[in-house]
Amino acid sequence: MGNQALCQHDRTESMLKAEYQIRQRKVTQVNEAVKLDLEQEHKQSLIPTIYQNEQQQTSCLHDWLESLHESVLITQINLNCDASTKFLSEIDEEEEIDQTKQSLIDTQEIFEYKKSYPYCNSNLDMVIINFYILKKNEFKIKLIMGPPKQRIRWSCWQLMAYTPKFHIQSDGLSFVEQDQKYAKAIRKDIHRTVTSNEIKYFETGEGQKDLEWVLLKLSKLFPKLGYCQGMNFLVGFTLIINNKQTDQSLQLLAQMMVNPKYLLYYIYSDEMPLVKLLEFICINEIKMKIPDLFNHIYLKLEVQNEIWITKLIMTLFLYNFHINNVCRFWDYLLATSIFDISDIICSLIDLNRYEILNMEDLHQFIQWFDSYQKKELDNLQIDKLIQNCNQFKQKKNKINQYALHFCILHPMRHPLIQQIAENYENLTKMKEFIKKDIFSC
Amino acid sequence: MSLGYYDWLVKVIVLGDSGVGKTNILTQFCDSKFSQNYTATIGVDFKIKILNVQDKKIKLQIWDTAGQERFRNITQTYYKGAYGIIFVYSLIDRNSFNNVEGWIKSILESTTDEVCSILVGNKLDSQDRRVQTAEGEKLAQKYNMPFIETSALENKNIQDIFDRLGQNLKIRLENEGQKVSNNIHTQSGQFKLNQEVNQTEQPTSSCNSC
Repeated sequence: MGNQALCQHDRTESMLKAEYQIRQRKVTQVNEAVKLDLEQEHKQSLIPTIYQNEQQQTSCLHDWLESLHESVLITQINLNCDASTKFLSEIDEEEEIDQTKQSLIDTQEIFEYKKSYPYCNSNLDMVIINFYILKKNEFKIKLIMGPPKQRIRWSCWQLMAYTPKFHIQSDGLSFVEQDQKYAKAIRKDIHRTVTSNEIKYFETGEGQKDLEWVLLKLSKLFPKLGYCQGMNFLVGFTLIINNKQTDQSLQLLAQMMVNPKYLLYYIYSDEMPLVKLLEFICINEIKMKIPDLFNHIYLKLEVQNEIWITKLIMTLFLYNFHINNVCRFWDYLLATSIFDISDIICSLIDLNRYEILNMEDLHQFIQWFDSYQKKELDNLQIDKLIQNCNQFKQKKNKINQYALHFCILHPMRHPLIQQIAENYENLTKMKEFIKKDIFSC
Repeated sequence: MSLGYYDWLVKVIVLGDSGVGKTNILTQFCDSKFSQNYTATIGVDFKIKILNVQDKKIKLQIWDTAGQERFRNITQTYYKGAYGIIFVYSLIDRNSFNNVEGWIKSILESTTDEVCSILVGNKLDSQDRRVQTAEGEKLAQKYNMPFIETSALENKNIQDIFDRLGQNLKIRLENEGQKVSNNIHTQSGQFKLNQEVNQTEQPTSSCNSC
């Protein structure tokens, strides 16, 4: 009996050891393929953090690399042979269920991807695409949990932001005929965007120059939009995350402007229609899911949206939260959609319900809200906040219903809201509308 | 906290083009601070300060608004109920001065109430002046409001903005108070007479209540 137990123990130990070795081999293999080790140390140091847990980060990184192993193998086959099946053009349309079938990316589709993202063609990007295609759900869960390296994060974000068949050409834009009105407004804000003294890139002025360049290009890409305050925060942030890659920042944000999942264009365009709709959704979600907090915040404290929700929407959390925390919010939004901003807002107030319910006036609420500007939430706090979003997640068809409800209440609504009410789940129609609305003269 | 004794609670809004120094004026007044590193205001920010005007304490609820034109539809909702308005332009930005009349007109369009206003030309510290004092005075005269040139950077005349505004607010509030005593319920509800008069708290000074 004793010997049997000992044998069992030995076997378990040797199995664990073997598993560990396999895991290590996979990690090494993926690391060699995507060359993550070559990532220079200074990239990470762009965002100083007071919460550095190296052991946890390494474990998370290995976990990611192991998950990418299959994708690495497939990418290698795919690049060497001409084997292929389908995808990429259907990224958005697919059901969010893990695909068990073995699927390879069509080489042609890779070219399409490269064409849309001319500056994003590393092995890592390809592996990430494969991972997403193979295990869509696992990919999104991992993204929401927070990638361990900014390079992985950036690859994931680019893939999520990508709008199939929507090419945005920015190379031919010259500054010669730039709209002086927007250029002047942009110059007023480049010093008022990333103000932390801890980020050297912006302290030295290099960041401001890049920020101005991307904003000017964006205003040229979307002439009807031009420049609106709030866009500067997004550009500054992306430049920090992707380590000063101006072209990639421009592409990512341009894609997010027109992608029906994010529709950033309509946050900043005249009348700010998406801000209005998102505020409407947030208020109604709070009212329905956490009515006691709704009553306290809106009826007792008389808090208005403009002092908190508007800021969160217009800067995607950058105005009020530490940059490292904002990374996690963006992971969540990019894995879901802009409409899920209400999940995060509900989760935030829900976790602070005791403090909020004890507030006696508007000033106390504002002090609480502004306090996030001065602190970085640690990993446990931010994990809890993100996990808590789950209980506030809304179904996709709810968006149409909210938009429809908004249209009934506001006869003078913007055509975008009408479009969301009618066609939010029909991506083709949404894309047609966006294209016509944004780019036609 | 700001729950000390006060006689009146009054809403004040600060308007003007983007980048003229609205946030810096407020931060200098409320927190005695100036920073070159403030971010551009998005939406609306809010501050509280109790102002002593002679024997009265006026609790100012000050709304700092985003200056970019596209934010007008957001900030306009804050015009309602304002008792005091501070119009700000930059002495080194001619356009911001030219646009002041637009700001004044937008107020006239959205409220029929009489408001106490003041015109402020900020950035007096700069050598690159583009708007002369006489021009500011003339504009202020046209709309019958006091005028002052300030530097938030050097904390020059910042307190004066609020002292002068406070004087006018007090006169108006006392007049309103008389009306209210004749007619217990005001219909507008746009300003509140002190609701804490009956509390036993000791009055706080105007400096430590933000």
